[in-house]
Amino acid sequence: MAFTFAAFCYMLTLVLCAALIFFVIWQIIAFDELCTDFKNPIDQSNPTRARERILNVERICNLLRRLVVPEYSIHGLFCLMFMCAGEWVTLGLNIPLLLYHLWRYFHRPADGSEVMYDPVSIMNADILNYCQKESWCKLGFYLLSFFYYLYSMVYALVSF
Amino acid sequence: MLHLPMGHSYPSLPPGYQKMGIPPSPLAGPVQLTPSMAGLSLQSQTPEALRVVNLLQERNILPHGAVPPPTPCLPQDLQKFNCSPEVFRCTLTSIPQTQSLLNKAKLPLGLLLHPFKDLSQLPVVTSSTIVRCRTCRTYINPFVTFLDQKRWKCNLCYRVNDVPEEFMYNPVTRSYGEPHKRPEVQSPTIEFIAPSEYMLRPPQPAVYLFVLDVSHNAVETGYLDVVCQSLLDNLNSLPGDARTKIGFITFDSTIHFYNLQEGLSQPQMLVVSDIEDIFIPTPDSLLVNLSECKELVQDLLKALPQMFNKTMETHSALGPALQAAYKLLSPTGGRASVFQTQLPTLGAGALKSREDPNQRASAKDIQHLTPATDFYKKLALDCSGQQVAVDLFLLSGQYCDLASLGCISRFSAGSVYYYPSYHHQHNPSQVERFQKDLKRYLTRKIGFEAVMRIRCTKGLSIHTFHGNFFVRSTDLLSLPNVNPDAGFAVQMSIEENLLDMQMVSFQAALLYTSSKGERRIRVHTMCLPVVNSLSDIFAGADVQAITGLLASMAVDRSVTASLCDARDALTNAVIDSLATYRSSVLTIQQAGLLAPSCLRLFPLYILALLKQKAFRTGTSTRLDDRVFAMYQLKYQPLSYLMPMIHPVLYRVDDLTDEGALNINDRTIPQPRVLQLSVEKLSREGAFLMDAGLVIFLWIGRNCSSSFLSQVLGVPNYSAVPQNMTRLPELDTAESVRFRAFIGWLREQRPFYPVLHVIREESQLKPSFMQNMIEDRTESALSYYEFLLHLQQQISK
Repeated sequence: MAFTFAAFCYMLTLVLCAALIFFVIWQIIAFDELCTDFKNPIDQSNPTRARERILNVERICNLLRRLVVPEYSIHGLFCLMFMCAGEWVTLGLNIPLLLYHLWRYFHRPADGSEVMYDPVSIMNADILNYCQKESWCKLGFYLLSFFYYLYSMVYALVSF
Repeated sequence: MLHLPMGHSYPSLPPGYQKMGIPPSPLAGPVQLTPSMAGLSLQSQTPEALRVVNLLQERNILPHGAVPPPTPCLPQDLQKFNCSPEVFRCTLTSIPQTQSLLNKAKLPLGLLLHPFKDLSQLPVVTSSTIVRCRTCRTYINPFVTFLDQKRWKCNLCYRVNDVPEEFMYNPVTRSYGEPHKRPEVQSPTIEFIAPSEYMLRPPQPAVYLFVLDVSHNAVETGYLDVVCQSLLDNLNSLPGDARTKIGFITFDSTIHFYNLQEGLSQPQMLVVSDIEDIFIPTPDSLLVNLSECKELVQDLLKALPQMFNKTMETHSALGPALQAAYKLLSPTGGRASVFQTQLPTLGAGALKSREDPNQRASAKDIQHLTPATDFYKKLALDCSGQQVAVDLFLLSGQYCDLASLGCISRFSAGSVYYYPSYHHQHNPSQVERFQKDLKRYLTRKIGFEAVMRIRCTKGLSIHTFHGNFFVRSTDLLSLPNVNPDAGFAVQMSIEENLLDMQMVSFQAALLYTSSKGERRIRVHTMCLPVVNSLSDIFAGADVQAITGLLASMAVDRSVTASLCDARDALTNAVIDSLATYRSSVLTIQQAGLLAPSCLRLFPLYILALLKQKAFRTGTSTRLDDRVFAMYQLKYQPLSYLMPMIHPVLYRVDDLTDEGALNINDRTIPQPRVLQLSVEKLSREGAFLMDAGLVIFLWIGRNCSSSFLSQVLGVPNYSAVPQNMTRLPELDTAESVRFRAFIGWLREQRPFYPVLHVIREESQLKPSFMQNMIEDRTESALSYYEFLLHLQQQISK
């Protein structure tokens, strides 16, 4: 059993990948909550519900916003560690997602302090659908990487 | 599949219009085929809308008068029930069957609505039961099918519902057993008075709050006199009933409230100087019942202009004033009208001047189109939650960061009014415009605590909304105030293929509280045919609606991406659609730039958008003017927007009664619409340009003296005054005719366009010339060069 730096990297990324999966599942649930307004249409027309609804939308958008930077930084940490450990294949698999995150971060609407998820435009179905699709794709990717890291960790531990 | 040729203008003129004299010939459409003959036509005769036009050769593409909206290709018995195009318009009047077909056509699919428009004939129904579909909650409309007398099939979700017993009786004809004759099934636009299930809290009263800037700058402009005088004149015509409330806040570096409690001998001013933490000084009597405290309100309005005459305050605490207004209006909801004359400098929401005057004529990207701070947007959301709408009147000469301030209105369903360089002495035309706009603003119909839902047939879905509101849910809009001058647009996509469907329907339902405290629902329903060939899609394209929707999309693109991206996207829109037409629809390939007759104005309108204040580069444009132009593109309904995009030019020194309209015993001449090019101007004539917010009357140097004396009241050209904005009311036939024409133009829109009479050396001549879209300028192409550019791009 060779407890190399690579093996240590994989162990750490395994644990943090679980956290990433948790974040993405949280995002998916948040989008679902955004979509479901009050079921009864007559309730939706009740003027006193308007304030609750806006506060709800703002609360969910704040939550989503708080998840963005931790997720991006954890993934950035992965890439850094793989680079230091010399695991080029794994690094190559993660580079597209890193570039995508960079593009998303710098291409955000330059609207004051918001990182993204603006409450006034989030309910437009095209933006909502895009965000939902993005979350599902990321969930699939993180799940696959979880098992890939697991395998690579065992491989790194076992091989000399 | 029914193939009815098109090309007629909308079938019926409104009542009161009768054509006189020789009617001008619009697009000469072929005779309408009856459905039984349609099958025999076998495409032997192309519909007028698909007639091929070579834009490089045909110069006269503008119709004689206004551009008629296309008529959907439905059987006549359904089409007569269809919603008026002034209220509900679709970019494609024949809906493609699949999303891939829509993508191939490269035209945007969307709806443009004007749901609360002032209508002369609106059926109002008071019914204890409002018949709605059980699954999708659609209101019953003219396009449902009755399976037998007891059941009806929804045209949006195809569910079969039962007809309730009460619905079988028709109160209009006093007959039983004919549900399809009831008014709900006979008119596409109808208003219901909502029964009590729709009222979950007592309907709010009309509450009006006026927030006035009284800094030194504001008093200098003299706007306070106009506002107070206008309010005094219109106090009795404010929409409302016995519960109507009114209140006033003024602000400079502190906030001033006015105690108008019944019983006081005069209004009492309460000053709050702690602007970091605004509080309301007294719990009530700041918003008072209008009918009970009318004398006090009138006293306040008479005293207000003089109260701040000697003020030396130069700061403006707009943010805290808005917070105070929000706190005051939160318990009930209502409308706040904010008047601002400078950049807010104190307290929360203070803004800095971000405009760089050297960048005004930049040929590259324009910066600072997005808000500088979230404060106004967050406050607008809070207001929207409490059913408060904020309308903003900006009357300033310098940069006021409208991009940030405008957010307070955009998300709380308010409206933005802009009077650049307003001054009571230096700019009297703006004063007149402000007065007339204010009168309309105070007296127009208003709806409170409204929501609007737009439903479409299963298979279509709405994905983006444009306009001033908050999007609460994927199909529900929150509108704290709804007013008759607001327009909305939505973009749609086809989620499931519309196979087995001949028609699709759209329904817009607006639930609001009227100013008299009644909960009402206004429902508009439109029906359109489904087609599966590209040529039918092109035949049904509505070029003005497409232009309006593309303008809204381009405004969004310039804010999220950049202005250059938006300009490129506009040009690509016309390139792609004409390229598709050329490759997929045209059977014979010819040289030149070919377009179908229904889209022949498309390149002209896109060029007009590229030269419009919102999107132009290379010409000096103030940032606030540009941002206001962008707001207008998203807010104005289509019929008021088109003259702003493509002004209408007429020659008016030789008006005749030929082809004139006769409305209410007045004869309105109908001169021919000319191309917007200086080659159409002539020294011997006088030309009128209707540009939406402003009307120019250009007098040629050698204009006939009979026109000058009989219409303008001056003996010769050099006697025409420099800044003439009013027409003398002379008794001559020409003067009567001319004033009838201008009055008719003005009546078509709710805001007041100022008339400017321009001579050749006038200061306003550059503004007039900038509207000459077909001409070349140093930073933009001429129309012909644009067509050549398009042709080159298409044949790549």
